[in-house]
Amino acid sequence: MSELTLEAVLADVEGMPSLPTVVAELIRSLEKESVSVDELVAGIVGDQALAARVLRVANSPFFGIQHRVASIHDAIVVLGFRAVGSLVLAASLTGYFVPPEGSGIDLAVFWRHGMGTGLCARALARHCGLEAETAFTAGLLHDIGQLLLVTARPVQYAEALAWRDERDCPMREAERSILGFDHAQVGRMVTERWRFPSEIVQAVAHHHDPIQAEASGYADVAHVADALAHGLDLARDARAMVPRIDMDAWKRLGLDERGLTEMLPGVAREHESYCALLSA
Amino acid sequence: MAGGVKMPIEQVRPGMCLGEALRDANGVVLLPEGTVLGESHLASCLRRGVAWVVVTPPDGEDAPDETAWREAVAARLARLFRHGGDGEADRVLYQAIFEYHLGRMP
Repeated sequence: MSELTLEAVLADVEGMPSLPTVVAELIRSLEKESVSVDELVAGIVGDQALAARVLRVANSPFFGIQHRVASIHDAIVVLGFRAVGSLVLAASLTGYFVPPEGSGIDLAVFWRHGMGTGLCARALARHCGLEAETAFTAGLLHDIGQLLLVTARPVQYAEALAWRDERDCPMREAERSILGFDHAQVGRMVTERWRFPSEIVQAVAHHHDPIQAEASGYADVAHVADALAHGLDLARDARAMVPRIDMDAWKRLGLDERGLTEMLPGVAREHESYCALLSA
Repeated sequence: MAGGVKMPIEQVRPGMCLGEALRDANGVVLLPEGTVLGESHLASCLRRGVAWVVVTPPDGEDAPDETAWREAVAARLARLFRHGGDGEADRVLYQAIFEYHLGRMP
């Protein structure tokens, strides 16, 4: 097997199909204060399957809305534009990569962990005064590099997965040993290609080493959220392992046991609702 | 629904009986309620990444007592935290999660 280089993976990333217009617009809207809500609603409604999945979550018991939300427009009125934007991004991006059959990554488990990390990140961001939806998206996508690799390079990635299973070690360690680079580096390429704001790119690139991030806030959040989501067992993954937490990131977030304890039940309830986005 | 004890898959032994149907992420039934679990079922659960199942309590036990639940949670967290650190942040996170799971005793 020829050696896989980061340059070859970059070519894979550059060759990825474009995102749907509405999703690209939503990503751009993360950096703008004012966006054309009408245009976005039109874009979302144009994709009926996407709109239906978003409405299913908006109508789940977690949101506690008394009357059924029947349209995307109603959902925006009730939940707010940014929250609906996050739902649409999540519903769309979770269906973007389709790894080949038998690739060794269970997509449902992968996205249950992504959703869990996104929701933990959102709760942590509220605790420490960062923008909640940016944190949600960073958490949701923190491991996206794994999906690019297993989709574009399933044979080489299968080796890394086997190495991980044999040693029961973190995925990142297996990737570095077998491929010479890791999913966080690839995640950076993917989020840059999708033109996410730099806070999200940095958080995805440095969720394992937040000290290396250019601006650490969202990387700290993604780092701790990843550990929290694994600890809560949200993905119900028998292989899951809670990573060691960087003490500096922890201190910067100003977390204590009481703050965490108050956060956990809400995150777990939200997770049940958001996972409704994952079924077709 | 027969109900039963929620147990980490690592603690389930062949011969135990499912108290609730085991479903995948889409709600599709993988094993129906009442299935007597054999070695092959348990191996398949591990392969699929199933972390918890609900099993019928043994005769004479209606519900798990707190000690049994505490032990079950500790066993699952020991598995999840097997590569965790031992700094203050790791300890606080473990404790908060432990208390959270204790409060969810079925």
